[in-house]
Amino acid sequence: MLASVRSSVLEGVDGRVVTVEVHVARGLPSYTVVGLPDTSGRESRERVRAALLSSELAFPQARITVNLAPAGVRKVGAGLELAVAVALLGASEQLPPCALEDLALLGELGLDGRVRPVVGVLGLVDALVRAGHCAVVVPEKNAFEATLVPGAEVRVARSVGELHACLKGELPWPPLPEGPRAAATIAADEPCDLADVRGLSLARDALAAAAAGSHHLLMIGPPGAGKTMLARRIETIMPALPPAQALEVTKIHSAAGIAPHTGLCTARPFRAPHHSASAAALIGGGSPRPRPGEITLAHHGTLFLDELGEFPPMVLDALRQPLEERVVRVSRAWGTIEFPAGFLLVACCNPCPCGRPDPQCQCSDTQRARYLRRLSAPLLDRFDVRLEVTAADADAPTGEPSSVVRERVQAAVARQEARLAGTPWRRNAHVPAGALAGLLPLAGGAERTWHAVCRTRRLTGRGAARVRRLAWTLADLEGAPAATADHVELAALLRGDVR
Amino acid sequence: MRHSWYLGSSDYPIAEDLPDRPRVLRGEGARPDAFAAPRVAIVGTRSASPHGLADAHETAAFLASAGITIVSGLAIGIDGAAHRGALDAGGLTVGVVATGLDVEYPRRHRALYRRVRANGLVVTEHRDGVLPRPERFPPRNRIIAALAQVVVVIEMTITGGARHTVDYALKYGRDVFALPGSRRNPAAAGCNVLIAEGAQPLVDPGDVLVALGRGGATGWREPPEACDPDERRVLRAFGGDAATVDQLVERTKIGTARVAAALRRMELSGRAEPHRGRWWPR
Repeated sequence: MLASVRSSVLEGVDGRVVTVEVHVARGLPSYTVVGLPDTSGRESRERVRAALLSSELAFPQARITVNLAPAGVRKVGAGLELAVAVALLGASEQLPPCALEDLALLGELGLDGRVRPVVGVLGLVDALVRAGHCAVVVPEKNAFEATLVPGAEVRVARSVGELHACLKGELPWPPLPEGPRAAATIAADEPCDLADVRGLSLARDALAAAAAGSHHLLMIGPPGAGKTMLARRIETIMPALPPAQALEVTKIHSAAGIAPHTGLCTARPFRAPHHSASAAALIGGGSPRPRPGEITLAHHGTLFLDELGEFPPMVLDALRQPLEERVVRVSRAWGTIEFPAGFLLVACCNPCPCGRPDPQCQCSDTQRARYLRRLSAPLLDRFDVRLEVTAADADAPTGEPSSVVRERVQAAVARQEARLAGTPWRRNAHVPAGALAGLLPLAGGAERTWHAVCRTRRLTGRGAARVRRLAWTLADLEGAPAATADHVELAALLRGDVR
Repeated sequence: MRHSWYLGSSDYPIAEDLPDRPRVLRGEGARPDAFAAPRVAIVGTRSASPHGLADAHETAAFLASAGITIVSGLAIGIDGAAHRGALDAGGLTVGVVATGLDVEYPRRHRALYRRVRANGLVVTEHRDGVLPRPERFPPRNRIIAALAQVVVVIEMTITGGARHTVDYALKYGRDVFALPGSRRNPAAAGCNVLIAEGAQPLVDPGDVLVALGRGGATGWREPPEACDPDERRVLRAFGGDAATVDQLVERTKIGTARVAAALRRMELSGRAEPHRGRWWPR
């Protein structure tokens, strides 16, 4: 007898639909899994057998063949076990064929027949729904997350025994667990606000521009200047996360196994990996299933690299391509996986190896140059805002609180979205050089200033384009109808020079 | 072109009978006549401020236009600025190095070495192939002090290597000038100490010519007048010292964009430059 059901496996952060076929034939008792399973797939035999026996169901004494189609794709993880168990019940005539029609299941089995949660449910269910399998059975702990997928008809499985009864119609489906009362947010370690920071008004403008226009930001300065304090507070002025993007973020975090099982990520992610991070940890990779790296986890949010100069140069240079394309392709011998990587890079860096403030620092210009040379020119070029920060006086006034700046940022985002409506880009920093003249025009005086600025600072074509995008973001923050000469001058100052 | 000067020969450039004169001086360069003119050494710290570099450049250019040969050590910082000042003014300059003539140290000054060889001399007491070592620099400084009739210190930290040059200069009876600096500038602290110990403060570059027994030009170059009102405001806000953009915005009260525009124009015309997070007026 043959039975088949659907399930899905993770590929990157997305799901891929897999058909699980089970064939039960007469012959010497055996259990074979074919179709490129990994070790946990092959081990499933013991878990399926124990789970069925514990649930007082029969494990047929026959020649059992499990096929996972398409056969050419590697299947990683134990999330197919529930599907295998149910297909086996169908193939051994313990379930009527009509019960398996158009059925999709996700879940790992315990030896006592309980159904255990899987990672990446959002992506897995999404793939199934897109393929037209709307009725999906998921483990109880994943149920709320699965209901976030639009169009999904989620059913809950708590144990194989109960699921068997439900599929036969002997028991009603268990109720969906209640969603979280309040939306889950990524809680900050300490309440922080821009109002805590004294002085540094230029750096504040830079931070607001970075948050509003998605301009990558580099702050160079001695320790104690307040650059880390400022950078960490970008979280408090980032614009709200629209629902569609929230779903994307949750899907990524779910695939990485770090999403709150209770709900949707509603705050923009803020990732701050330590400088000992490897290239694979930062951009994604690993075996057998490549996992999303920090840049993917920071999708639609901020990647904060403190002490940029301490990161291995090789790791930093791996960031160059994703910074430009906002996706990262992880290629291995068996294929390529694409992870989204649309993040805002905020980095801080000491100007010299000793890291003392200016009067005490004895580093020569040679040492400073050597230290900053660790940051390659192409990487530095990708920062729209490059600011040298010096410590403010202790009695400098504190600035605006985050709530005020955030309102300005939100308004600037709305202006950009209105202007860029109908294009594939959402922020000024994303507009490619070819589309600048049409989307971010500079009128008379502003254009003359722009040319003058490019000459003074000896800007490359790419640098000039960055100044132009930044000038428009500054105009958007001010609510001005277009970028003026003043905005261009300020943008050129913020773009700075790293020498 | 290679040259050698032997102790005792008529063209040996150190006339007085100093106790530790090198037995032989080896030189390379197109202008062996650089030793014929009066010689002034301009020395200082390697970690100079933009103001120090500008002052070294200007002092060297002033003296070189008066026909003086500028002697220095071809190091980063004040030394390099002094050589460049002399060369930019079309004058002669002598670089005294602590390595063999076939070694160029620091490597960043390769282009400067070429310029000094074309318009002056690179001089050493070492044979070819001798590499830079910490203990070779103080003896090199004694040659700088011996070759010069006057030593001018532009910016010097309290413990700086230029102190050796000054000590030798005093031992050899040379006049020592030091440029006074702000107490807030750690690179100028050594100069202020020298003045307290009796060195002449360098108030006017013409004083060096007077010390050489010559008259002539006096006075620092006047900075070009800023015609733009915003530039004048920003220049006043500097108060002669370096300042951050935030400080300039607060003092001028004309807004960040106008300060940015003024700074950019001043950078273009060479009246201000950014360095280590602050802007420096010229």
